[in-house]
Amino acid sequence: MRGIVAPVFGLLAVACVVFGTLNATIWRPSSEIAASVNVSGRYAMTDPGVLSMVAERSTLVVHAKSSKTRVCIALSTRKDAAGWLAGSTYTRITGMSDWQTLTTSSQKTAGSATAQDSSVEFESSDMWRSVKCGTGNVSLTSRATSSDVIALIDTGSNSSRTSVTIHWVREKLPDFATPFYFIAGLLALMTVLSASVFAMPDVKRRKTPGKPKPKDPDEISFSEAFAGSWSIIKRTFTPRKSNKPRKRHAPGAPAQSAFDRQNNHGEDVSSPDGNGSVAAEPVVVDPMSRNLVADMQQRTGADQPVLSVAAVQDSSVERAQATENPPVAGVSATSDEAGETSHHRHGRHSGAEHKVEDDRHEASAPVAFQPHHHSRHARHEGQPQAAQEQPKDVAHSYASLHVDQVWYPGGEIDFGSAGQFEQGEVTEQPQSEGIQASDAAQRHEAENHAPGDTSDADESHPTALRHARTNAPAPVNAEATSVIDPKELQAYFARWASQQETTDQDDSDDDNHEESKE
Amino acid sequence: MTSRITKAVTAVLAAACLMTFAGCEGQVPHPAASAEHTDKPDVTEAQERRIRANILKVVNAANEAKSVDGLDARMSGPELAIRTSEITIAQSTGSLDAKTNIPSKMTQAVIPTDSGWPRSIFTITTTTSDQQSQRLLVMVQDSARSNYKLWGVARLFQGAKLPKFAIASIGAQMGTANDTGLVMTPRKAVEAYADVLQNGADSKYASKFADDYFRQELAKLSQTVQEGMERNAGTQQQTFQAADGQIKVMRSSDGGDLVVAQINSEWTRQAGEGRESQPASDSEKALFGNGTATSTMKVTYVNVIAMYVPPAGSHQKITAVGAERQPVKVEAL
Repeated sequence: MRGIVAPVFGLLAVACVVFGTLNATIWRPSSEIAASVNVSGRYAMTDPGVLSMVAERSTLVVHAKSSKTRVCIALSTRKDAAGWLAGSTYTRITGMSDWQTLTTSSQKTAGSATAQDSSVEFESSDMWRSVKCGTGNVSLTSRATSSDVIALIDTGSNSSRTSVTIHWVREKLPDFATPFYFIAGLLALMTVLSASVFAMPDVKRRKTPGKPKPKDPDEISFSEAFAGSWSIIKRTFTPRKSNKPRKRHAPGAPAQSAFDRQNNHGEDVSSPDGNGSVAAEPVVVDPMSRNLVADMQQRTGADQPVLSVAAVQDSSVERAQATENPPVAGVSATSDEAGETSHHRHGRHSGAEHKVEDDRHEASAPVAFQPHHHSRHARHEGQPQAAQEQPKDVAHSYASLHVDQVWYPGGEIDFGSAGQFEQGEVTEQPQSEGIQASDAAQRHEAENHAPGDTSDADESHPTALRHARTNAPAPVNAEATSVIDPKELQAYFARWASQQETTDQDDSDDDNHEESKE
Repeated sequence: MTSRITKAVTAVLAAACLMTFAGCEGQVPHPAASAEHTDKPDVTEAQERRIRANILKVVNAANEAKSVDGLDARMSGPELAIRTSEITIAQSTGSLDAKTNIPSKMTQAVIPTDSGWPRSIFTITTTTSDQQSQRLLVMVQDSARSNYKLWGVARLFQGAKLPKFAIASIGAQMGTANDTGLVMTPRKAVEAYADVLQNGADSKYASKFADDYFRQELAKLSQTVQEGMERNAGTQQQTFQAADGQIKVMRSSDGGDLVVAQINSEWTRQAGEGRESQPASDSEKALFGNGTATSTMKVTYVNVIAMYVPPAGSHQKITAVGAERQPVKVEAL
């Protein structure tokens, strides 16, 4: 290759230099241009701009075929010449077809010719800027500073034949040599390169010749990096299975939607051996940024006054439950969790079963995820209507003040209907101490309520009481959990599950203490 | 043999390829497309200078020869009549009047841009060598195949203020006798001025015109003659009439018109009973020659009046800026 490419480049470079030199010398465009045309008739006139189309200075030469013909050339403007030529036919010189030939056309001017006797001689007219007359050959030089200057030729007779030539001396010539020189330079460079650098073996051109660079085991390959990025992108843009709007924190959003979402993903969340699907988003609700008053109002209806005690922590719920409803206090979290896990493995649920499962699930999930359910514990009929109309800020601050305890204004809390339910539940509770027992009780309950309407189930089992019997872990820092990180949550669940048994024991102990205090 | 043919063909092809590398003359140029300039001045300043020189050459030749032959080649209109009269008078008096002098240098040339004919060039000369006032020359080209001729000359009044015109390289615009947007159309203004010349302060147009040197001089002359006629129990009467079509207008840059027009006048003097009416000046005497005087003498004058007609709404009066007056015919009735 070295022996072929480099000489070829070299030869081409030499050829370009030769052609450049030729174009600069013997092939150089001539600076003198002479274009001519044969004209017959008395008058000929150049178009405006023709005299100056090659160079500003031009020389018009008119050669009469007959040496006796008197020819006059005048420089004028088009309107003056048109006035002079009124009613006459003339040859119009329009331009150049090539560098040696002028183009012409025949034209007749409008108007009527003036009487010849009253007219002055062509050469003595005042209109011409310059005029020259003669026999045979006549030449006139024009320095057309503006393009409106034209040349008017009068041969004196309609039968005369003349040759009109315009000479220009070009000041700016087209330069064909420089491009050749430039290309020659490039080719010379290519010659040198192809003879030296490009001719080297590949290994010599590299900085680390010989063995290839050992691969870092930690270094990921391009395909791996791409696949990883692609999976993230794909997951981001995967359409959500639920068609419901993502309005978790919107005031007035149906509280059930959070449940629905949670149920949709419930199996994944509770799956102990979590695969990649475990990372599906759990519903995280920030109680600090949710108008719980509005939520409750929407869920319970306007006829039921609501006290906006929202962010009641589960421990306090537990205590309240213990004080108000001692028989329920002993509900064990272990059994709840067992029930939840068993129930969540069912694919579909009827309405009543669904509700039950929700409750179980709430009990097992971190408390920060379902604050609006806890707010139901504070439902109270005796609450004045004005309490509902508290502004959001007040409601929030009020809720935050009662993190650790539940305050029931008016003293009397209606747990009547719930009590019936709880009673039924309680009757079952003693039998369900173990996991299997709890599971069986849940199934039983589900069977009892399965045929019933969902709304009926809601009314007959107020959520306040259903929450009251749930057990939950210690308060979770809302700020920490508001960051949605599936892995972190998963780890948290795992930790929480492992510590569950011990805390259950402690909680029951606490309840017993409180009960004894009461 | 075959290889030789192949070599020859190769050589021819190579030569043909080489020719493509040969330089050419470049792209053939084309005339500039926007080459029509109708708003350029009709003549260049050099042409105007040449035209004026050609005119003056003919006029001066006639002056020197005291012959009116060939004057019509470069003179027309009122100026031809005036110059003919002046040369005729010079023939009898032996010398041309000093006022016939036309300076060869100019101070301003007003060149129109109008297409078509007739065309006018207004040129203001310098003062004469004997410190006479500037002359306003009006040169007119009637058709494309005729040359510019000196149509009118008006001696500008001392201190007369002329309107401003576009410079010669840009070109002014010619007006017409019926231009509107003025205090009065040029034709009407000339007729009104003729009436003012005839009736003086009694004219209904007197208020439209500013007082000027020409009117003052004419009134003074008329008054003098009137006194003499009254002593001889005679009468005198002057009539002024605008010459039809003898009017040239140039539009100034401030919207007004500079109008140069011919006004013919006839001065009829009738002596008292039994007396003869004689020529009133050397000019008239020269023109009258050896004619037999009678009781009545009618002298025809050609007056050239230059006046500025201001635009309407400018609250200016029409002002005469220059004039020429020459008796052209004296006859005894």
